[in-house]
Amino acid sequence: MESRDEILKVLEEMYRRVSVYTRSDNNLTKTDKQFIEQHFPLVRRRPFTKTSCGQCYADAIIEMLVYLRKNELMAKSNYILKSGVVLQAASDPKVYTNANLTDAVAERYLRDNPKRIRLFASYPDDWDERIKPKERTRKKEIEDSEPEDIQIPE
Amino acid sequence: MGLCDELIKQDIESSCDDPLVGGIEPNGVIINRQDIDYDNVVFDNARKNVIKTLPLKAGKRGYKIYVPGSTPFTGTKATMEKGTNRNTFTNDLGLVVMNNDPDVCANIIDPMANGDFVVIYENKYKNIGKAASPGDSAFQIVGYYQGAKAETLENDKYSEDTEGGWSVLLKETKSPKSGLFMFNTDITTTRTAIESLTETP
Repeated sequence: MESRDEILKVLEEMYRRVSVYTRSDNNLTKTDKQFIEQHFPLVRRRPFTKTSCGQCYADAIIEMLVYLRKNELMAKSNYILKSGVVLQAASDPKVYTNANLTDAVAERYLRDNPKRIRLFASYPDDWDERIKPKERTRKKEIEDSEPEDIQIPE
Repeated sequence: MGLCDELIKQDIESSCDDPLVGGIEPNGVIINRQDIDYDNVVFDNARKNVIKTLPLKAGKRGYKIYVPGSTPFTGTKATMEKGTNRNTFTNDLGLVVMNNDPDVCANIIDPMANGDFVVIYENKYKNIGKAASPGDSAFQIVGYYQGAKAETLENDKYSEDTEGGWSVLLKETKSPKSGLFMFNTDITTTRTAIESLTETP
């Protein structure tokens, strides 16, 4: 997989070409379009929708450029929601789908109610350990550790 | 379990500020009924004609429908049917597949001939002006209870309507509800959830 900088470099070059005229897809080759179709979901974490409009690819270039200039590539979440499921809470106005879900968000929602695991299509095997409050996790680590692992200060 | 009271609980009137309009938007979603994760479907606590979350089984997805034309999904209607012990509803859903090639026949028409489906469509009437839960009339579900099955699949080469494509009529019989809607928090969240149904897992 290319790095953020490599993707940015390709997008900057495409952007120079599409902005020669009035932001049209006409200056993009088939290979350019394939690159956009493949990388848009990677950058924006949602599918690229092909329609018959004349500047969809140009718009996608701009959207990816704006995002990547400010952000790193989003880390792929270890949690995947079932199709049709969105996560939201009264304390957070944002709506989360697989497009913007991160491990931290998924674990926060599961911490509130572990029964929500049924809404996930896949998740890490140790999800129930991950959602335990940190102090309790640390306490369990100490309890589980072998006696020789514990170093007593002199 | 319990005794169903079967009593009307609301005045019959119409909104002057947000008048009812007929028709359906051209975009919808079709799902193989067996892919729905029925164990984890969430209904609205207070309104049992409203589904809040319609999850699919892991790895499954729905498919987009786009029906062009000025009257998309022509033939869509709900009709009460008299029963011996209880009256039920028949839901008809009409659509046109403006394509006909080997892949369309193999991947859409042939499975449609014998499968059970659930379809979500968007009414033109959203009910945005409603005081409580504005926008809850936008998305309606057909086939949730009994599955919508093909009643007609027709490919008329000289049809003025389909231009040689497929005319489809899906029918769900004996549905206990006159209308089943999808609504979660607001229309934007609901739309996001419906869009996520067609994402590739």
